[in-house]
Amino acid sequence: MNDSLKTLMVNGTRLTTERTTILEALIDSGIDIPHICFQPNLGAIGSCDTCLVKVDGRVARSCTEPVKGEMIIDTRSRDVIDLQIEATNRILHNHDMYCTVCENNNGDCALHNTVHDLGIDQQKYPFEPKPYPVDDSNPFYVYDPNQCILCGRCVEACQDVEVNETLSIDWTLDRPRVVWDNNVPINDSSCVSCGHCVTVCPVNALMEKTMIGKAGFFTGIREKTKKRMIDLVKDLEPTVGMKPVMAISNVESAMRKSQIRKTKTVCTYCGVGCSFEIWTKGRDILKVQPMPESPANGISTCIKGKFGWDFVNSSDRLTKPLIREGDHFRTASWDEAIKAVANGLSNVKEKYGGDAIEFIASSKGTNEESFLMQKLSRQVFGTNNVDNSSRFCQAPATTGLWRTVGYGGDSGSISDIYRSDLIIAVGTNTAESHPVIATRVKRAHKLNHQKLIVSDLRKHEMAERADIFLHPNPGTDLVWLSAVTKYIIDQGWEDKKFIAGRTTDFENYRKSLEPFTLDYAERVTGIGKDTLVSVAETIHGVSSMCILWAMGVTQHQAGSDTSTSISNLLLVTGNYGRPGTGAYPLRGHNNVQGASDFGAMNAYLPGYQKVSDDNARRRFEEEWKCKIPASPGVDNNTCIEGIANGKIRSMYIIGEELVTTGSSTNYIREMLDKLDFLVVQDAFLSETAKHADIVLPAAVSLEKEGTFTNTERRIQRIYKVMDPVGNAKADWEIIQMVAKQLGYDWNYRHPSEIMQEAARLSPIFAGVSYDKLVGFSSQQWPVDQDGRDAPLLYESEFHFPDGKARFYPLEYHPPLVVDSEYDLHLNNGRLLEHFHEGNETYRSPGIREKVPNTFVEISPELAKERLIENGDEVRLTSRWGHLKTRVLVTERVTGREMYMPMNDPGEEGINILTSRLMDPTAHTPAYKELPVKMEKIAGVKPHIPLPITNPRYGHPRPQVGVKIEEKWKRKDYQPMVSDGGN
Amino acid sequence: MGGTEMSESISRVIEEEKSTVTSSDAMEFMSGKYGRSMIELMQVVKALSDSGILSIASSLLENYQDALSTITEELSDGRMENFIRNVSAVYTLLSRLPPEMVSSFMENAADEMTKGNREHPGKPMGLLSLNSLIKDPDVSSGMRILIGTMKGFTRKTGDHKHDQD
Ligand code: SF4
Ligand code: SF4
Ligand code: SF4
Ligand code: FES
Repeated sequence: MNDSLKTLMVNGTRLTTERTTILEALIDSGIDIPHICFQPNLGAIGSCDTCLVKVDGRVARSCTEPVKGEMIIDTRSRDVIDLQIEATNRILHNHDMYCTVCENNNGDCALHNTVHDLGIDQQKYPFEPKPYPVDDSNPFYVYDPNQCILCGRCVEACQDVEVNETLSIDWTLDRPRVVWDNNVPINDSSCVSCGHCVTVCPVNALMEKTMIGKAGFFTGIREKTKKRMIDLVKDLEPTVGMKPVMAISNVESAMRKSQIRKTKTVCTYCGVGCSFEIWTKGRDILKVQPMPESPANGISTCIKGKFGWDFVNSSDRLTKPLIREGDHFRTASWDEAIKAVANGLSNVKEKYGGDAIEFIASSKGTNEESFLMQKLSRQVFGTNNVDNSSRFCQAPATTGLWRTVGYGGDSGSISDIYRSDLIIAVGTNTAESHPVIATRVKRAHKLNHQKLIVSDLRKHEMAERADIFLHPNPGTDLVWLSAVTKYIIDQGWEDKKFIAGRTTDFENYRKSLEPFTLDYAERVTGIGKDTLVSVAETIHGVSSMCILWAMGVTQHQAGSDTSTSISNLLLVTGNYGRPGTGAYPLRGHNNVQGASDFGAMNAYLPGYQKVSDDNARRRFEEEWKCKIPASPGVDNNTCIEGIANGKIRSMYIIGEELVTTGSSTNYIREMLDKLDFLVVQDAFLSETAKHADIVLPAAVSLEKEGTFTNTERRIQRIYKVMDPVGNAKADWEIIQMVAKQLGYDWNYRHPSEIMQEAARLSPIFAGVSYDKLVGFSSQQWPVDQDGRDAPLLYESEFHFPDGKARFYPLEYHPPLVVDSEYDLHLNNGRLLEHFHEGNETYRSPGIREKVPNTFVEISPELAKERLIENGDEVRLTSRWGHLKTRVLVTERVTGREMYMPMNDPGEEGINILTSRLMDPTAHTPAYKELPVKMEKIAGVKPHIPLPITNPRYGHPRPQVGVKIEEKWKRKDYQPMVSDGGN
Repeated sequence: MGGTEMSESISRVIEEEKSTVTSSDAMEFMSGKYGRSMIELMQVVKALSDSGILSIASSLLENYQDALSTITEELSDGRMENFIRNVSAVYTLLSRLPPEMVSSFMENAADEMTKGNREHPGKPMGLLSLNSLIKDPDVSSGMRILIGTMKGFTRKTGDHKHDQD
């Protein structure tokens, strides 16, 4: 028998459980008792006393009481119920119950349900307002102290789940309340608007602004009227009791179901793949509600996923096809536009062959759409010229993993990152670029003694939190990683058994490390030898390690090699194939992983089958009755050079803002204008679309069905929330219309049919099916025929014919560095608030308020040397372009290294400056190798580019949990449990 | 911005075809054909819709199963017995009162409602008016009798029951 199974007697009935607390055991077996402050993702807080039970005759909080064998639990006797009622009555002293006009009365209000279930009819302690005004300063949510029941869920979420450490309850106040930082207005605090607190608040004290006035039938009435109605009902309540009032509100709540739709979807921003229910009323988005069962994120989100959906209903959305006519576009019918697309592409094919066309699938589109785009290029046009944006970010990481372990994806799951003993984060500003993954690291580091080593040019949040922060010279990560690996081997600390049993080519690799001595590494990277030794010792001292990396590694000429060196280090130390270990290249877009997985790659068919593999090709050729070339096509970066040399004559681009996110904006614009025929399919008239001959209006994720694959290889379904705006259509429908127009008999009625075809043709998706992906269910590829998926890779073998991992010897090739003319290094990347260039996020007024513009971060030393002040305007010039921007002086950067976020609402985006240099293997642009010069523009009034309401100016107050013991110490707290306060 | 010219980048969009008929076009067409009664109907629908009454009604229609089951659930809950009894008692009381008294009460109420409408033109008679109606001393004395009666009933049956094991 399972040791962890324990037996309890509950109300006279025997119950076995594996759970550690009594409340969880009760919930599991369907015994419902009140538990207002308990939420499964937060764990027990112990603040509300509503979950009281008798344990062996003693009164205890069931949420904190550990399960021990043979306990006798009473949840139902009169005195236990009376205690629960007393606790609830105390809560009602802090909460004005006006459910029928309350935005939170949607059937899931913990307090409403408790009052109802306990049959409370008369309030014992009348509601007494708290002497604090409502705080509605934040653009996204409101805090109403009068409704706050001081349960502490929000504090726990902010302190220990999001770990932004903004919230606390000030228990010393006469009437305690939740406070932000040192009790400042929300908008002046360190709050990053991640929404965790709002998501978990059990009542209406924290509420999304988008819900207010919209959720219920009576919630929209004028404030004054609402107040009088509440007063009236309150007047009646002592006479008629609460039950009739509750009954009316229950009916109203049930009625809300007809107008509020809750639809499961997946975030369309970063690769974490947060899923949630999105609540809508018509096209109005009421709120985003992550669910405990959301597999990648639980209750977590960041500002973008929780509050960044205004773009969906933006008046700038494209609603009709557009056809270029002289100096303008004219609107056209679908019929005309599709004929024009088919003609234009066929003409190019006839004249120059299918290889003269480049197809770019969207990394924000669904897997099915990516599959269809590569099918269009291969079947209809006979070319492998198809790609997606992973080329711009993570292709080098994939290369590094293909070289060493076989699969181009994260080798475990987010839960492995959380449980690992040691995280090394290289070139990833995780807290801003993959915020929800960062929450797991921050929590494990804060609560579970997880160690954290960060290597980055900037002292960002993760660097601040790190146990060891490495600041290498730009582009030298490969050197310190290799030196640390060599040192580990020199000390005899390598995992000999793992190396002998599960890898090949170790000897060659060991020899290749010879140049990477500590002295050499110190010279090249600028990191002291002692620090490198402590990194090696830390690695040696733990039993599991994950390495996370992102574009600080990949967007260099040596991106593939540095990624390979990371994998080599993991192999040397045996950190693959066990829980809490592995390689985690953090994928940028929501579906950059899936777009590649499903074959929008110039060298790979769906499921990473090489185009050069005759057997694989044959399978597709037979199914599609066509001929597929055996050599790789042109990718979406070198196709720009392809235009220059006349090989590429036409492009069909879906959803990629090539002009501003490709490197060297001016050059790309020039090249696009040379094309004979350009089709752009997008939700907006993007900078790229402005160069097009035909623009096709695309539906956004909320307007269609399909699947996305997140960074953990997790395939998740999105459901249609609303119809496409205007005449926009889903990408898969548009691609199919083009294929049909060209005489191909495609007849997909639903994306699930496309998935069936992909699963049939690609062994790694063999068992993927929509039936297994219902609701919040997900599958992590490879999925075998029986539907068994793979949360953790390489447990028994690596993805090579012999099942062994391969060490891959490397040399160091220095990056492009500063010189006497271009004397400053300009690093660049994301900011938390915006996604990429900001095409979508700039359409959220709240996000725009927090970060209206781009800017350049410069160090205080540099500012002093150049006599530049915060907010001054400067001109930045590289060999490839120049732009003007404002200066933000900050200690996040040092010396002559600067940083410019890639978001830009106008035409001064970073890629005006970047070059056409690239990684020679993966062809990813070397965005991060950017020497520039800077001059101050005289006579311009300074204007600080980051508003004072940005959370970066805030002052967080770290603490563990809610500090409930301070509540128990208060004079006005009468203990209810048998052993005093706690 | 710096660098190259962008002669080929365009952003001007010209609407070529008028594909949608606006709602005022539709109104014009309809009123031409069906005259005044149609306009009035439209106004009523609009008023209903603005007041939220339409959405309440349509929600009840669409969702009557759910709403009904909630109502039934509420009413069949043992602890609601008092309330049901009270409601029927009030009903019985009203039906036993002399008809002229009831009708004058109802007339007063109707007056109040129309007054409410006059004072807030365009605004539907909402719970606000009902509230002020109730707070009116003439009305409230009547109400007090009713409430007093209800109170009596509440006390009669004593505490609610709980399951014991
Ligand atoms: S950071 Fe702000 S939004 Fe996020 S949990 Fe904390 S207080 Fe709430
Ligand atoms: S604001 Fe925080 S403490 Fe107050 S009720 Fe909501 S979650 Fe609980
Ligand atoms: S942007 Fe990323 S972290 Fe934020 S909610 Fe979306 S998927 Fe989650
Ligand atoms: S749920 Fe146990 S104290 Fe709140």
